[in-house]
Amino acid sequence: MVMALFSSSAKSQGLYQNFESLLNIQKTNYEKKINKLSKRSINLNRIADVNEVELDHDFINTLLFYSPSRYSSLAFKDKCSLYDLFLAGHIKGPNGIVQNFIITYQTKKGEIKKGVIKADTFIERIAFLQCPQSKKFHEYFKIKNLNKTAKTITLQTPSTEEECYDIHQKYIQDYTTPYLCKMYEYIDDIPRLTRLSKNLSKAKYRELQQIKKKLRIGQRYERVLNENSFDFLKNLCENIEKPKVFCESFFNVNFWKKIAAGERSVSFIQNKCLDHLEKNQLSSRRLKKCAREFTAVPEVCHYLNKRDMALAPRQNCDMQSFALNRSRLFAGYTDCPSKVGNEGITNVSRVVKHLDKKTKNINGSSCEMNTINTFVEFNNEASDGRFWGQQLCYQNKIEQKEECLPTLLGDFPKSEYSISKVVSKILNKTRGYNNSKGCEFITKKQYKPLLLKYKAGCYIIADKKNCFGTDCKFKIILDEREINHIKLKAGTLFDYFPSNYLDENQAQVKLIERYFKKKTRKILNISFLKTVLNEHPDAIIQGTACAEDLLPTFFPKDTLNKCTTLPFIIDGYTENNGSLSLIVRTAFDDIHSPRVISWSYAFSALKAYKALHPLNLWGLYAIY
Amino acid sequence: MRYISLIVLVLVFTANAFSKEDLPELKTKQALYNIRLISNDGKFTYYQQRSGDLQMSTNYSNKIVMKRDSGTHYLLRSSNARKKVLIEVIEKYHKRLDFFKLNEIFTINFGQTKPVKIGMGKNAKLHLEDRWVSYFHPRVKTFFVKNIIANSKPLAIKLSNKVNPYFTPKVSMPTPDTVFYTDINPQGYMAIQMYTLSEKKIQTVYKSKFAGMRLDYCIANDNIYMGEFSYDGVNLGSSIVSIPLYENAGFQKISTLYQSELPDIGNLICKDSNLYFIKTTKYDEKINLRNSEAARLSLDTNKVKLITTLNFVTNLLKMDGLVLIPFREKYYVAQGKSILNQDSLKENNQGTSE
Repeated sequence: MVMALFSSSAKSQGLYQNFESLLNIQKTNYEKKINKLSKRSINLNRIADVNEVELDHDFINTLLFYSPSRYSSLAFKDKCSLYDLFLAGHIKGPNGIVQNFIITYQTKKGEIKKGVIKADTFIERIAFLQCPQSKKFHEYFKIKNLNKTAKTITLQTPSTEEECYDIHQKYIQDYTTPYLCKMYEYIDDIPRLTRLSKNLSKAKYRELQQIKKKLRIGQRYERVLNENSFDFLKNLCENIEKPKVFCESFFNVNFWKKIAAGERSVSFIQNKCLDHLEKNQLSSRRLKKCAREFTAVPEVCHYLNKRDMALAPRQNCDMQSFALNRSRLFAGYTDCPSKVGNEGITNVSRVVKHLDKKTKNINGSSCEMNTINTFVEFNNEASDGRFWGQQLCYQNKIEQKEECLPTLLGDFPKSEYSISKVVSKILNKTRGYNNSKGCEFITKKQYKPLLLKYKAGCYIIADKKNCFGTDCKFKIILDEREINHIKLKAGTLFDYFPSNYLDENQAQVKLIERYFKKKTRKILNISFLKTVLNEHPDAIIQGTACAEDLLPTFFPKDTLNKCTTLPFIIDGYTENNGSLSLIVRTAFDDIHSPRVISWSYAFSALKAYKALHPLNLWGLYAIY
Repeated sequence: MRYISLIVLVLVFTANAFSKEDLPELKTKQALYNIRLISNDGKFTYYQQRSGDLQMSTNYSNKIVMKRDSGTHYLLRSSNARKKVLIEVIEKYHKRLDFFKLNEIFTINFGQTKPVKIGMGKNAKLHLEDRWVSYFHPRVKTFFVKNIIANSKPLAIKLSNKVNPYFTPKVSMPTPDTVFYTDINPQGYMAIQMYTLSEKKIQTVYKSKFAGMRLDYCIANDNIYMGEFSYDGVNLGSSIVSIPLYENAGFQKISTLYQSELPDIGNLICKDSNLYFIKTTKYDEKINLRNSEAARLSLDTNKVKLITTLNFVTNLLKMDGLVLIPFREKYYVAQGKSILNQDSLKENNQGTSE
């Protein structure tokens, strides 16, 4: 009927006028009905069963007609969902706030009647009886309970498009969504209310007090929600009936712009931006400039590699942004794979950091120390450090034997393995050096023997060009004399995946599984890969395969059975026209430059590796 | 004139591009994953055992070439001269995943079993009738060329590449005085360089048009055939040109043989009067998906022909005259004999491709 009215008068009067007249008709009908029914007061004691009371259907239609249309999809789950919308303030009548409800009920004599009831009374005496959950939610979201409630709410950011649609559907079904959207609306209204409160004459005291009250509530909500949560709710509440738009904002918004807007960690852009601008410090202005330029000229990202020292060219900025939008690997730190000198260590460290979720980006004496130290600490705890092979050795003359102490090839805060601590310890034993003075780990360039500072004390002088996480050329100077009795034994050997049945449990994947008490599952096909990533928001997939098939443009296979073993992590996927590509960080790539790689390449690479592996290993396992 | 020839080539390519053929699989007596080198007639096979031994088998005998720990992996390469075989020994193959680790390099006489150590490095290659070898040290970005007959001190040539720590140059020696190699400048432009040993001078033969392009080349018939392909994630098209080695001052004479708007994988191989490479037939930029096939460009007719229907070909390699396409545990033979598992003393002509 509404549609008929709409289309017939549109021809003669134009759409806008038509809509206005429709509103007037609705309003008049509503008021007539309210006036007519309000003459009959309802005695709640005469209602046969409160649980059977229903809102009048025309009345519901009128309310939905005047309320923001985006919330209507939340109203149809059951009658409780409409009550929740009302309690959260999203339901409006022709005159704004709804004061009275029209209900249909059965008397104890069995008569079906309609009547009007005060909204407050309806909620307290009928709605809360019918829907005790609504009463609970209403209480939870009251200002006094807000802090407690906020702790129980987690807003789930999707990591795949499929998951995003599921999340959207979940929020539509969730009874708390109206209350969450109420918080968003209050906060969103703060700028307008602030302006109003400043401009409104003091004579309008009552109105002003109302505005100030709303402002206080909005500001209270603002203290509970951080910026990301607010953005999430804004996206959800404005797109309740538009799942596609809701999901596009997660996956199709340029990642660099998200960083500039403070929605994602600066660490994703930091090194690239500093390289691009040839600066040493990042300001918010510089960051925005990088975000702008990375968006405008995608090719810029190919070789911004001075700090990360990873495989280059990387994929262009657009492709990286696309991959980062679909990525979930914890990446709140920087790394530099080629400086580590062991792809296994780089990958293990990334997996451990993801499972550990340590947010601090602590830097040691050089970029690679963060990666190395994570590996060493994890292996110390999970396997008594048996796989860390870098040691400083000396001849213990009393016991007539060589003694070796494990060491990092650099310094890391609070690590007993820091090379300066280990050298100092050995010098104390062999030369009576005062341990408390310590040693200093410096580069060749920093060492200036003519300066007074270097005339006394212990210095470990590293040849920076030849010093990496797993091998390092250095010399030790004690009181201006070179020390020759301390030798480095380098050689870290470990299985990433088991390579024999005897030591199967000592492979890094097994240690990770046990230490973090996680499940691992072999990934044999695309559908299982998708299921795991969709059902477990924190799941990542670790693998080892042949670089020649995974990255054939970088590593051509020039002889039979050539296979450069390359560990990698998959933390997302994307599909187009029935084909699937993966979001991959190989151990040659830096943590912030994932690649989009076809499943077919990954499949070939895994097959090639399997053929050469002693246990015929299919090296692709999800961990969650 | 160059434009006219280009148009003709493009037309020729369009007409012939998508005719395909089924290639035979390589058949050997040994399991393929154990083989490290097999002669083009199948008469002898170098293969690796799970114990770590490298062995050579012929129809009549089986000899040990090297004994190492289990977990050792061998890479073997030969050249057209068939005088030497290079062996790279990668120890602790599964336990030490270090791209920069250097391998031991040995030579043996072709078809023989006595190894002679020549140095440490990666990507060792034979040159000039197997009298010279080159090998690479990735950490110091330096490659070495050495005359193995004279056992001379290796000559070190340092790359100027500072942008990709995982870059390995392609090295060739067309004459005893010249070394061709690929390098990358700080802006990411790749070039083919020519180093003259007597003058110790470097000259640029060809520089890529854009940063992020990958130059691949092979030398045959006094020409450098050079492919300009795109690295992963870079889509700037592909082309193949020929550059005469002689009577070409400053390498200015360049003829285009092939062009494509799609990012080919490349891996250019020269074999007789054909160039083989991996051609991208379809590219979905949204998800970085390349459909690719092995292709053959005939230097006689300038026609390009797709020779596989595998959809995702990623590699092409040459082994003792055979052109092979490795694909998911199988090797397809693009040129040469495919059946190398027959014990018959007679020459067999079966299973020959091309």
